[in-house]
This record gives sequence, structure tokens and C-alpha cells, in this order.
Amino acid sequence: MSATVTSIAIHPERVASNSSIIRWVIPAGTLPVGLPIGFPSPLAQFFTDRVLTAGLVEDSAVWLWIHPDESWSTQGPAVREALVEALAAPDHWVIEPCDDAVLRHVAQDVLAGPVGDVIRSHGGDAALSSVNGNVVEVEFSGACSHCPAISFTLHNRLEKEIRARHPHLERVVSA
Amino acid sequence: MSSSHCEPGTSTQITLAGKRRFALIGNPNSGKSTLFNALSGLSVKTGNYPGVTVAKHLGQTRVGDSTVILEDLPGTYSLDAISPDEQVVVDVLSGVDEAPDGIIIVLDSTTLQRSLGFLARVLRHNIPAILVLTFTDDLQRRGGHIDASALSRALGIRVIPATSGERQGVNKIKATLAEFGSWESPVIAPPADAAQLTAWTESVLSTASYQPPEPDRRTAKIDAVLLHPVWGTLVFFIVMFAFFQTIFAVAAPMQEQIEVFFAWLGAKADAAITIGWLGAFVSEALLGGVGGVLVFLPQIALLFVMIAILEGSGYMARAAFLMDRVMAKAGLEGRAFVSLLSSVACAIPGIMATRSLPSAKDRLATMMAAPLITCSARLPVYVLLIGLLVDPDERFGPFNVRGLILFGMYLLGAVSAMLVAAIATRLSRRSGALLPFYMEIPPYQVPKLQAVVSAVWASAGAFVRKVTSIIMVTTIVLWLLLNFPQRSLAEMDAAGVDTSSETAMSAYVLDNSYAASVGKAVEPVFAPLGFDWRINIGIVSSLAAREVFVATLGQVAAAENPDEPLTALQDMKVLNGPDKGDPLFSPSVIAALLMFFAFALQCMSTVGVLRRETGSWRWPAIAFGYMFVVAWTMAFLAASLVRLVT
Repeated sequence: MSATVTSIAIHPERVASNSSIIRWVIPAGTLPVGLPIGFPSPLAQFFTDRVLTAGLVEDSAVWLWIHPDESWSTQGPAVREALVEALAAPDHWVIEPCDDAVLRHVAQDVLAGPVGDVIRSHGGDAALSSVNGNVVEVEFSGACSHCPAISFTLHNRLEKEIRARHPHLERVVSA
Repeated sequence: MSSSHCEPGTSTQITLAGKRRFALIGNPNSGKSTLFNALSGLSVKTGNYPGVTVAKHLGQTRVGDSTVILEDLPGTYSLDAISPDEQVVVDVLSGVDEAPDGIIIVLDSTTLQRSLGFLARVLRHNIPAILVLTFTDDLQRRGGHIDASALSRALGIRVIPATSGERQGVNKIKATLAEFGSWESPVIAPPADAAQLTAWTESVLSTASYQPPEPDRRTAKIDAVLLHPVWGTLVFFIVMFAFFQTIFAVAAPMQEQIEVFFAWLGAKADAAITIGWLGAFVSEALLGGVGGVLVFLPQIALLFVMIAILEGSGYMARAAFLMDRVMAKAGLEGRAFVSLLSSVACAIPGIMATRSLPSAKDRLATMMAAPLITCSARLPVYVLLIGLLVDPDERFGPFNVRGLILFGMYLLGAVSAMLVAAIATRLSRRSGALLPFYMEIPPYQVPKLQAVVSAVWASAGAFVRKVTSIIMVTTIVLWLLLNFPQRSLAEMDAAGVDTSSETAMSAYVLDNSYAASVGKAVEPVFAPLGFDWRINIGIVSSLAAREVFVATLGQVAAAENPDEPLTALQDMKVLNGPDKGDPLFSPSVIAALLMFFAFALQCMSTVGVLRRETGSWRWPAIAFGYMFVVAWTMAFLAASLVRLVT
């Protein structure tokens, strides 16, 4: 085994709706939440080279968009190393706070994930209709429309899950 | 560790052509083989990997409309390819032979921090995979937690939680196998670099809200005593001692029942069969010989009940842990103890268990020592000989003397195996440091009845198969050798035999049989030990399997006194020489026989396995040679000593 240097704990996860995005799970609070516009090198180089096209920071994850001509399976390991290095220098990131944009992505991801799976398995569907000032509006359809459990799903599942990933969330409402 | 390992696997034919193949891969004790058996039911086929001597287990199961092939890879902790087991796993993963279509990774959910790195390295081979988490009930009971669906997202592969012995999990796995085409794969392969891998593991586990189980409080309390250097060792000896006392005390009544049954059967056969030689064949060879060995079924079964209970309760791992220090004195590591412990059932699984030893020198040293451990085939021989030596009711204080001597024989086997291992490691001048020794110390639990029953069933079945195959064949051959050439009445008259006495006539045939010639031919070797040709032929025939010794004596005795073979053995007299007329089975002869069987490599199956595992005849020849010399010497010393004191 090589000398163990403690490295920042991260791992990649898929984003269900879009295969060009990887959500890198990072320790909570490593970076301020928002849209990054400046990255420390060597991560910055990937943006200069147009390998990566965009980023987003949530409380415990960094989203990175890869260029459609590139693939995560080949670029992934190099990006991982660059990201780990960049995370060790949080002060070198330039991040614009933009709660609504972050919240929109998080809410969409949660709706596409396990909570959404539960809703869909019951014959219903839920779609994000708007995000405004940390309030998420969700439109339920299908079996959900007249479901007595909707309020439970809304608060105990959806709201809990989104808040776990975005602590600034105020509430989730049904459209 | 059942003696079923002694026989090559037999079962249904498994065809590979055109079927999807899934390999099960995981750490030892992760419940992988249990899962494999649950998935493939009775369709298991055992073979060998080409070129190496690692056992290959294939099974099949129906998923959806098709049949898939399952392969149970050897359990490994790493993919470093230092041991033959690991090499096989690495070869399979890298497609040296032919890579499987999919992999079922089996990990113990209570030790995920350690095993996730192993999973990462498996996933780097880019073969579609799913993860089965075992012992999730155990994890929960001990206050641990895992979010399987979060873990699945973090890993990028499907995760199926399973609890031991539960149908639901198995069905879920089968359903997942049916959906092979749509298995997800990790979006980016886990990192290879050690530091990054540690970080990845930490991140994945924290996302999955992994809470490792608390050390079992009950287990911790018990271990405070049982793993204590002094009390633990004391308890270990008490447990082992009780073990052998029980084998005698509990099995004896059952054994009597079997004896009564065979006596009844013999009488029936005698009355029913009117053809002289056939009647003799049935009552002597089949009932006297084979039946004589079958009598030991209760003891063999009981031995395996006890081993299954020790293993199932978790005590066996503690015994191995306690013995690690002792093993180190012999230059071996704790893993070698597991091999030696398996040899209590049979040396063959014991020798095969040395595959988990990374050092070739350790493997050889352990292989040379393993056949000295008292195996279940020695048990009938010891029981018979001790039975001839000591009265059943004789006691030493509160203990049954027969049990005491048997315990002593087991102790002797263990001590001499350790000595041989120590000598072998010294001779090969060990180089290099000891490799890390991992061993799971499971929490204590009440042994599962099903596991005990199936262990006993398998070993009792293997024993009965052995009795009805190799032992039966050897016995029949022996019967022929003992009863031929047949003598005519005129010949016997000429030799001065009292032809009016049935017993005198059969004694004459016996004394002039082919077997007698063989026995007499080796007499010079064994005469100093006080053995006559009748014992010699038993020793020669026991090369096929040690139990045959019992069968042979049973036949010889049955020829002399068909109604009471045991009494016949006790009444057997020395035929010639200065001691003529004294009992043949004198204490000194019995002591010599006990020593001889303790040390001699009287088992051709073991020789065959040594040949296979070492790849040449050199080591089996050395093992057979040194063990014979030691056996003869110890037998001679024992006989002389007993003669001195009696």
C-alpha cells in the first residue's frame, strides 16, 4: 500500500435525468452553495478545454456537466483528481449564491430519485412546477390527484429529502 | 469441513453452452457459499481450476424462463494474487479463462468498512455486477444501520440486502439475475490509488448512512473470559475434554443397538442361506466386516454434531484465535490452525484448506503435519483398540477411562502435528515476514439446527458411502484372500486337522490363505512390535482406509467365532513363538497398534491429495516415509514400555 495521504472523501453519482451530469458527493459545507464561475487550477483547465461546461454546488455535492462529445468514463478519473485538489482549496472558488437555481436542480433530482419512484409505483406522478424564494411548488397528477396521503408524502418524504440536501428550503407546496 | 470432501463431487451434469454465467465473489465467511447453495440447490458440481488445485464449484438455477450457471469463486480478502485462491479469482475477473457475464459480489454488511475496498477493486474490472449484502439482520440487531438504496446510488450498482437463511432475499436475487440486461454500472470506476480509495469508501459509506454494528455486548462479556490467556486456555481444554467424553458416553448405547441389529441380521442370513460359502461370505465379509465398521456411525455422526455446534456457536473461531499464539511457536500463522482443525474430520479437507496460506513453505509444513491430526477414520480403530484394552465401566475419578485415553490420543495427534510443523518450518529456513493474519471473530449465537443437521447428514452420508464403496470392496477382496485357496478334506486330514470341528477347519484355511502369506511376508517388519500375520494383514489392508483395519479384524474374528466376534478378538491367542498361547491383543500390542495408527499415513486418499496439491510424488513419498518410521519407532517404544510396567 502506498503512503496514505488523507484525501477529501468524495464519490460520483448519476443524475437520473441527464447522463452528461455527475453529482460528486462531497463532505457537507465544504463549499458555499451556488453557481461556481471561477475554479482553482487544475480543475479550471477542464473548463478552458471545454471538457466540462458547467457546475453547481449544493450543500454536500458538486454537479459537473461534461461536454456532449466527451465521456465520463474516460474523463472521470482525471476530473476526480482535479476536483479533490480543488476541494482542498475552497477559498479559490468563485461561487455566486443562487439558491433558486440550486434548489431547482436538487428538487428535480429528488423527484427523479427514490421518492419519485415511490410516487410512480403508486400510479401517480409529481413534477416540479416552480421554485421561488426557497419554496418549491410540485404538481401532482395521476393517482395522486385525489390521494388522501398526499400531504404525508409532501411533508414527510419530499420536503424531508430536499431539506436534507438543501437546508435553506422553506417548504414544499402542492400546485 | 465434512468428510464428504474425501470423495470427488458427484452430481448432475452441468452444461455451459449458451447459458449465462454468474460468478459469486466475496470474503471468506461472508455467507457467499451459503447463498450459492441456496441459489443452486442440489445441482452443485465440484471440479478443479485448470493448472491449479483450487476447487471449482458450479451450480445452476432457473431465473425467469432460462437456466443460468453459477460459479462459487474461492473466498478471498484481497485481489493481490499471493495465494492460489486469490490467483484464481484474479484470473476469472481478468478473463484469462473466460470472464463471467456478470458478478454477484457478496459482502458481510457488518464489516463493510473493510470490504468496500475489495468491492472497488472488483468493480474496476468492468464486468456487470450486483452487490448482495449479507447478515443485515445481524447488523440491525447489533445497532448498526445501512440505507441500501442510497448505497446502490453511491456505488452505481444494484444492492440487495439479504439475511441468512431467508427465502425472500434469494428470490430477489433470482429476479435481479433475470433482469441482467438492465443492470446499472458505476458511472466512473472506483479509484485505484490507496488514498483516493479510502476517501471513496468513506464518502460512499457516509452517503449510505452506514453505522457499523456495535460489538455484541453479550459476545464481549463472554469473550472477556473465553479469550483470556489463562481462563480461555483452561476453558479450551475443558471444552475439548468434554467433547471426547461425550463421544463415548452418548454414542455407546446407540452403538450397542447397531451391534444387536447386525447380530440379528447375521443369524437370519445364516439360517436363510444354505449355500455354504455364500453364507460365510455374507456373515463374515458383509456383516462381520462392513457391519463392523458401520457400528461407528453414531460416533462419527456425534463428532460432526459437536464440530457443527462449536462452529455454529462461534467458539471454533475463538479456539483458532487462542491457538494462534501456539501456532506461532511452530512457525505457522493462525490460518494454519484452521487447516489442522479441519483435519480432525479428515486430513483431506485439512490439506485443501492450506490453499488459503500465502506462503508455499507454510503450506508444505502444514501439509506434512495435517495427516497426524486424529481424523474421523482413526476413531473406529481407536475405539476398537481402547475397547479391547479397558473395561467399559472403568473410571479414573469421575472420568470414563476409555474417554480419557481417547482424549489422550487426540492430544498426541495435535502435539505431534505441531512438532512436525515446527521442524518443517525450521528446516525450510523461513524467509520473509509473516503475512497479515485476518480472521473473522463472529458474535456468539445459538447454533442453527438446520446447519447442524445438514453437517451431520452430509458427513454421515459420506461415511456410509465410504463404507459401501471402498471399504466394502477392500473387505470383499480380503475375504477372498482370507478364504482361498480352499482346502479339501483330504488335504486337511493329511495335515492332521480335526475335520470334525468346523472351527479347526476354518482356522486351517485361514492360516494357509493368500492373506496369511501376505501377512507372513511382512512379519519381519512388524514382529518386533508383537504383531502376528493377522494384525499385519489388517495393517496392510488399512492402507485403503484406516477403518478397514476394523473390518479385517472383524472378519478374522468372525471366521473363528461367528457368533461373538468381539469375544473372539479378546480370546485370540498368539499362535507361535515364546509367548504362544498368551492373548494376542495384550496391552503391549494394543499400545503399539494405537501408536502405529496415530503416526502412520495409512490412507491412500491422503497420499493422492498430497500428490495433487504439491504437484509431485516427492512430498507424499516423504510424508509416507517419515510417518512410517515414526509410527514404527513409537509403536516399538510403547510396546517395550508397556511390557516393562506390566
